[in-house]
Amino acid sequence: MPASISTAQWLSADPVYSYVTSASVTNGTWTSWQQDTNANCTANTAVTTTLDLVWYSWYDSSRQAVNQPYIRFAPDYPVQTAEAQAAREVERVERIRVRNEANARAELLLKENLDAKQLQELAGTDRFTVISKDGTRHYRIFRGRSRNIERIDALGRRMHTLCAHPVDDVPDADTMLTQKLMLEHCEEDFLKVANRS
Amino acid sequence: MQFSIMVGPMSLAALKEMCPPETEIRMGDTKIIFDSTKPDEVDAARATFNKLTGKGYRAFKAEGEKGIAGTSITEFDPKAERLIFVPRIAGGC
Repeated sequence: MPASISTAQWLSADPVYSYVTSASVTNGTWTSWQQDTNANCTANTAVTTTLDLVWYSWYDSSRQAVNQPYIRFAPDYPVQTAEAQAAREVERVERIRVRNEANARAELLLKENLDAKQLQELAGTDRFTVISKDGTRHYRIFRGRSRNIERIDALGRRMHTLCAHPVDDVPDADTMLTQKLMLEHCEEDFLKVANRS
Repeated sequence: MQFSIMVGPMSLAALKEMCPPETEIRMGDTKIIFDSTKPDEVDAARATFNKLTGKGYRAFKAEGEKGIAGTSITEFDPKAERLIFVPRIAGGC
């Protein structure tokens, strides 16, 4: 419901706006709001004499104070209804179901493409070791999407971390299989794009 | 011949245009089976292969038993039994 207050009320209703009654105010923000010297503002000891179009809109053409409607807008977010909440919950559950199924399919594909030793490592430690095609470099791939690859030395000690993954947000198991295939068959291309730390 | 395509939410719509119309595109792993004894299916497989690799997917041919390393291929091989298509990669954090 719109409410209406007079300019004078408006000027004095708020402690911040009351700055207009002080001739000594030097506040940068409020001097720009006090640039009209009509009767009303003078009565409130405005500090400048410059006409300001923004401030002018609060007065009529005869420079008399007029009441301006003060409208408090209702927030524009939708009303929460039980039906809408239930529909969102259904969507949320469906998203989780789709994601879980995708994870399960990706996990199966990963396991189909690991050898026995890698499968054993994955089951025991949630990571597996990949050896470059020429057999000289070893990498350890952890479950995850980013910063989940370590270059390791012959004793299994970390030398540095690598980070590269599919641009699409595929399940972690798909990411790990991509990293494995790239390191085994396209190692040079992988290392070109991977960030190292 | 079996295609395994890694699918994420960003590529769902695009893949529907790249794969045969009857394919059910699913996130995680979409499998397409082509009968390599039928010329029209081999042609469909070749067309799909070219579309996927043209969009940045990399194809790996899995050979022998599952889990045994295969090779990366850039040209369609009608004799391949299993192909895995992985999305383009980018450097992370």
